[in-house]
Amino acid sequence: MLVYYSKLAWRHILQTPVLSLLIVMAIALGIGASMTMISYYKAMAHNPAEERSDSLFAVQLAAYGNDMEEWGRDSDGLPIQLTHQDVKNLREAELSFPRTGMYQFMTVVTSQREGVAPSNDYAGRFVDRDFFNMFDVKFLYGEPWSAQVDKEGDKHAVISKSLSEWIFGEANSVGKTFVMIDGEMLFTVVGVYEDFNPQPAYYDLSTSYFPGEGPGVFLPYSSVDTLGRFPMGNISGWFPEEVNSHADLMKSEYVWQVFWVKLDNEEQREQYRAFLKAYSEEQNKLGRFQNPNPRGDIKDVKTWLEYNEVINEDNKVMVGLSLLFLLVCLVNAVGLLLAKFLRKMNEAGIRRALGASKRQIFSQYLVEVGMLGVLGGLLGLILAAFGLWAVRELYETDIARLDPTLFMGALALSLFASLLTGILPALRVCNSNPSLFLKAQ
Amino acid sequence: MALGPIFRSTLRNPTGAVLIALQIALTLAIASNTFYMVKQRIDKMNRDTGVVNAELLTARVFYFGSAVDQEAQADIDRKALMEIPGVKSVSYSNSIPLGGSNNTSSLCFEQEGSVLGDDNCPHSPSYYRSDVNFHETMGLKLLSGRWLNDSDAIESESISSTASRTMLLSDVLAKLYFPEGSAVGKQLYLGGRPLTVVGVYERMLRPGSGGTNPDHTILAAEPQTSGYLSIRIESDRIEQVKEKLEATMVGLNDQRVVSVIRTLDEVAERTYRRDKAMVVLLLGVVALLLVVTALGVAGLVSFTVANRKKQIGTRRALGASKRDILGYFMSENFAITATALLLGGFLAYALNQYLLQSYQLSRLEVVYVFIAAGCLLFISQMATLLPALRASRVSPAIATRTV
Amino acid sequence: MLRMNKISKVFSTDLIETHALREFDLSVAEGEFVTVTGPSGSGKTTFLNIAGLLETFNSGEYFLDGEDVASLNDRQRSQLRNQKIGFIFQSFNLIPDLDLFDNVDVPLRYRGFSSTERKDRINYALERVGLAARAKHLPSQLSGGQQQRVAIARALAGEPRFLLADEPTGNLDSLMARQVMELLEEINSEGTTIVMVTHDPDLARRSQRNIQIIDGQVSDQQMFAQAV
Repeated sequence: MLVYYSKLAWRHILQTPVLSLLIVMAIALGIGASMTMISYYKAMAHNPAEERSDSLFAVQLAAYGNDMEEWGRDSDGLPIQLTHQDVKNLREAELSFPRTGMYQFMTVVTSQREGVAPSNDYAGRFVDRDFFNMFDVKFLYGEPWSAQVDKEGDKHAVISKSLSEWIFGEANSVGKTFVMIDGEMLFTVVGVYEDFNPQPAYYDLSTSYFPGEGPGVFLPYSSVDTLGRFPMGNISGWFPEEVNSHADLMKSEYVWQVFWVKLDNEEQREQYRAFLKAYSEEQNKLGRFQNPNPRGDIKDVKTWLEYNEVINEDNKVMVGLSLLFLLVCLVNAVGLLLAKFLRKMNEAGIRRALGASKRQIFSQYLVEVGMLGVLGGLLGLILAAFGLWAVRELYETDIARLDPTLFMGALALSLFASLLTGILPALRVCNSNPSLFLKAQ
Repeated sequence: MALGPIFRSTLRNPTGAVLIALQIALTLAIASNTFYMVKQRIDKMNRDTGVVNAELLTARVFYFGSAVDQEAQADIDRKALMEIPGVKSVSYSNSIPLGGSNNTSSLCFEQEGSVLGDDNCPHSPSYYRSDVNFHETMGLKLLSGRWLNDSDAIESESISSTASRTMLLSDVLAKLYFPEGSAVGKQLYLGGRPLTVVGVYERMLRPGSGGTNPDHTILAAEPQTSGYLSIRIESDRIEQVKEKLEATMVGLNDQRVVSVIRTLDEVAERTYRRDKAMVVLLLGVVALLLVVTALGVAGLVSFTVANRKKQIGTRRALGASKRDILGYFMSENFAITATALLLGGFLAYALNQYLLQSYQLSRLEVVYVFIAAGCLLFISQMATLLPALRASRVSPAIATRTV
Repeated sequence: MLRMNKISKVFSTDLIETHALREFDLSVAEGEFVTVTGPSGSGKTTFLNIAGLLETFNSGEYFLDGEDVASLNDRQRSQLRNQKIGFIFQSFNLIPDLDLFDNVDVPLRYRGFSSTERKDRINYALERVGLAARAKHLPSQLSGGQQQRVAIARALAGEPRFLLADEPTGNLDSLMARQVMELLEEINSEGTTIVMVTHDPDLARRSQRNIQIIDGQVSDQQMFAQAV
């Protein structure tokens, strides 16, 4: 019967080309607009940590005092960054969990190729060796610096494939040296990684959520003291404090670094929470953390992305608006479907007289609506592809793309939406009194 | 033409009319709120920066050679750049309006621990640290007091706050702190240090997109030797200078990188990119919405006309003129649209209430509802016109024919 | 075949109630050819619609082939209509976008026959009315009489026991009308019960029994000799 209905539906669609086209267009525009906005939203809401999301935790501390009730994020009064003192203490704590402190800095790298001027296009980042495993940095050549270097510091560097090619003219530069920082320091390449720029840049949300370029060079966090690089990012303080040098900044109560720890199960998490509590109380006794409630917290990647409001209001408003637009398009489609079907009242009457039940007539028209819906969905996907191109151009971003799940989602949505809109018109047709249409007028 | 019979015949078979009305009401709610959002974005993008946008070229200067005497080099740079035809003024500063880096600090009435409590430090302005020419480079306007001069200038390595003892406030900030009387000569605490207000300038926007209080800025004399370089140039020479700037600067000293060379208009464009994108997307959706609504109305009216062909023919046979038939459909649509717009007005208000609660949007101004309603009435009537004209051309002879 | 006891049908609007049928009694025996006549608005069409299960009634009893119709739901009524009743209309009511083959196919589709069975039945029915060669034509390409013959083929394809005809010759000239009438008589002679509404006293006289409806009631019955 489905085949028969499909045949009839297709014939009917071709018979009323203008109305059918209008209906398909209405559905397509609604689906196209909402799919564009949902795709963009989904790209922004993407959790790049995927299966590692539940075991990676950003660490926060209530590192402020003088009876201040809260300072930092509204929801729990914790700053998203940490002081250097605290990151140093957390790194050196006698716990065996993988962890990394980090901050971003600007540097100038010198190329060894002829006629290429020094460049500061490649951002540097201090991290611990666990960073590469925790954040899934893929090594092409070499490996992270040793655990020894992690403790004592050395001029070792892990650089991106792009930077390696820019400096040396080749991707594999393990063992070679290059000049960076003050135009005079020599660093040895120990590893080269496939360019790394997860979107959003969840490993450090204190700088930019969607940076155009990922880090070009990683240096051992253990060299922070000796290299004395100022951070490129936010520095925040809760009381006026004189800072004239990098050494001052490291001693200060300013927050400017980030710390992550990998905790695989609830037991480890409990252990770490207890550790943060004990640490906060200890710091309180030592005269720091003088707020009424010295405390710390850990947040997994998913929570961290939401906490930092990576998705901005504009995106939410646009998704809402596009769904309202879809609603208008569907109301529109109901009207046009009604017009389309009422023309077929007579035929439905004849079919009823010849033995079709209401349900059979209803099904026949719903099949037609479903076909229009699928057509609308397909056209909508084309429009969404165009819409996403426009979004990419407008925002100069590369993240908004159609993915296969959305492809199916769009078809399912348009089928569902069209069937929903088709119910009223199809009911009107199948419930009409057939005898009214049979008599000659 | 009396409206009574029209309403009655519409009420007898209301489905089509209800669908048109629903669509128009929803469209009004969406369109009026969208127009308003667009208006706010455009206002934001068009707001006065307080500086001479068209004459400003900016760049970032970053040294990598540790042996450079940056102070001496800054003087060399200034002299060399001033010799370029068209260049009026040159400054190094810690940040630029609408640009990247931003330094903010609490501005307080009294030293920490004051009895004023929370009211002691009501605002956190951005502060600009630069040489005494900065106001000239930016083209600021002095409202009271004086500009900063060499006696104010102070050398400092501080990254936490300014070491300066004097400052200028933006007009908005001056009025917030000293609503009665002049701010000039008064003392305020910035980052824990006392600074005396020596003057008030009209305005200069904050770095970045500005947040909620884009006018809260402070100017202090603390000459910089790297960071942001701003050059004020006659606007028709700006592109020429821009092209050669990197070569010129690196030619003067090759121990530095000169990058992000942009005119202030380009800086603004990048800063407002999200807003512009939002405006384009919002207007795009509204335009599609209006097209869909127009097609929907036209489709349903055509259908009604086709359905009532016989009735129209009968009316014509009984003496109705073409104009009467046209008027009939136009007034029917007018009545439906007007009712829908009334309903849509309430919906617009409800949607705005929701947006107010969920997002930082301000209250919808009624004028936008009226603008959107006017647009919709026009579109709805235009969409009706074509099928209504077709109806008016129905031949009276149809009445006498069967089938 | 058909038995109606005290059937009443009332159409009510806000203002008035119209009694289309009042306490209508009628029996039609298997194999009979009955004509129904009466002035406009007398209730002929309402009777036909109720007899064909297109409309429900307010009170009374209706047995079709021994089955009490009042207790059936829409699906069962549709099934009954599909299997036992064939319809022929004054305005033919062919579906204009379907060719003759597909038009005759319509009732068979709702019967659930296999495609070969449907094909056989359609071809047989079209042959029977002499239009097999034109199976791929659209109704608009045929004359009125040919269209009515297609409608009869459509009614016959499902081999109904009972044929309801509503002024089948009303839109035809006399020659074509006679051909259609002869076809109906032939069908009747093969055992199919026919009830036909008509204005034409000549046609009425050709049936076995004529019923006259006035004001929703049977006012007069006339028996005629079997036409030879």
